[in-house]
Amino acid sequence: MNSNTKAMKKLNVLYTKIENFFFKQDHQTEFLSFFRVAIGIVILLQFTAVLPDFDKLFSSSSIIPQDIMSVFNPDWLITFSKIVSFLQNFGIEEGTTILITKVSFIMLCISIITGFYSRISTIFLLILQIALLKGSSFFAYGADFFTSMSLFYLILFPADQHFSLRNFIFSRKPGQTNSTPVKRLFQIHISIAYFFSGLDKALGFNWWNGESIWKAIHLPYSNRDLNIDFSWLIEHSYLLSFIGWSTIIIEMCYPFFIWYKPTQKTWLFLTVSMHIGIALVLNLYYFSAIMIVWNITNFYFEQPVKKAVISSKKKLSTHYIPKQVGS
Amino acid sequence: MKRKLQLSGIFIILLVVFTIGLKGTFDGYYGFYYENKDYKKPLLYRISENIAESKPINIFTSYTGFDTGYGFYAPNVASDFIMSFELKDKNGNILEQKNLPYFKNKESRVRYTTVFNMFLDKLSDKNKYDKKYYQYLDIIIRQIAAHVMKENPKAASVTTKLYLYDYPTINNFKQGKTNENLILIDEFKH
Repeated sequence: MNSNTKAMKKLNVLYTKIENFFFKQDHQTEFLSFFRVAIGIVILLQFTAVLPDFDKLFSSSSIIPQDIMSVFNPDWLITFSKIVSFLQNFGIEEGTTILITKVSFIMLCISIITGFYSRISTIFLLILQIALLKGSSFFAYGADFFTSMSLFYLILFPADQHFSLRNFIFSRKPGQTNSTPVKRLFQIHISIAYFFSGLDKALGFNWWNGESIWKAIHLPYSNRDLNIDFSWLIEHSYLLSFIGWSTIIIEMCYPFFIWYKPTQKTWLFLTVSMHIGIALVLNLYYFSAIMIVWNITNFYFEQPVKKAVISSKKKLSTHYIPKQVGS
Repeated sequence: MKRKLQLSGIFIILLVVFTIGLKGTFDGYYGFYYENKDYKKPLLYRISENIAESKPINIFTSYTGFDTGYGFYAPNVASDFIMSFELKDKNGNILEQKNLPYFKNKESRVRYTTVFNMFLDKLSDKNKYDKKYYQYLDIIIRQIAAHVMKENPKAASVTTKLYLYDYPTINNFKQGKTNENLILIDEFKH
């Protein structure tokens, strides 16, 4: 009986700790505004980048016909070609649907960036983005999946409560919804993602001997913009191994060092630097941009170690005094 | 009560993220080290597959982008391909040779080249692989070729060659083999 009570107490303490971790409000709002505006801009830029080639990638006249690309799609998945076919039943031609899609996509991005009913806009944008992505799945890459996930988090976050056009127009005061639960979910998600990314690389022998880095920087469609000559690295091949090891360590140890306050900013800097490298060498600009936004959103706005200690002391003392007075 | 519900939701989503990450790791590892080999999937692998492929989870992950693994460029950097097109007029004269369809933007080129990931399956053991899937990959190449041909109104035929892009390893490069090797995988005439 006694041991049961002790176990229950321990469980209660554990639950309280978990609850505090997920629900303790830190009254930070900058990260929300940053995430909304930054992701909105990246998605808008990525979409406008493919606008001139939209038909070749997403329409019925695409390089690979839509029906071939959607062979493995389940029936319940909404794809752009299904939307086009559905609207054709009402006499709306594909060209009109494409035009409406392009305009809607841009308008929805703008409403997210400006914070004008961003949550509802994000729901529509996610549906549209998924329809385009799944309909032309052969042309989708990592950046698209991270775009969808970003939109999912924007739906969960009360993202237009602060620094928004909606507040400005309707003279609304910023709301006080607790965004910590979603923020913690987002933070743990990115930690899991990096851990697996690092683990998967660690399982490949070529990441340890530098061959993977050597191969990646010499892929036929990499390094096209800056055309950096990396042949000098062959004389210093230890550098290639070092970069390979560093990539694994940065990614795999991310969940540990990003949460540990004294190393948080250093790890953030290392991770962002890695993504800048990916952008410049592998030319995956939008993927890198999204990952940098994810990192900054989740860990840049966290209180630094000294402030966190001071503020927690302050909170403890103010919490403690009234209890004494009352007793 | 509301908090407990919220916490349950958070943990379910995190479980999904973790499971898909784990499945991605198993996919990558077994796909790389056990390709063309018979093996028994570990219990954790089967569980992660079952969870990820169950309909409710599949619907959720498909509509949120959570259906991606995180093993980018892993376990090793995959080989890439080059697809070359030789366009000829009705007299058999070469009109142009190119490696990409015409795109107005770099981002479109990045998207187009992701198709090549599928062709890795062409390198696997033909006896072990689904022949229908091979035909499917061939149809994709033929469709790309047909599109490239349409870009040039004078073109009457197109020869498409799929090459594996083989860049020298560090050791080979040190020994003076500095040029990439293009290994012909397939050829199509249209």
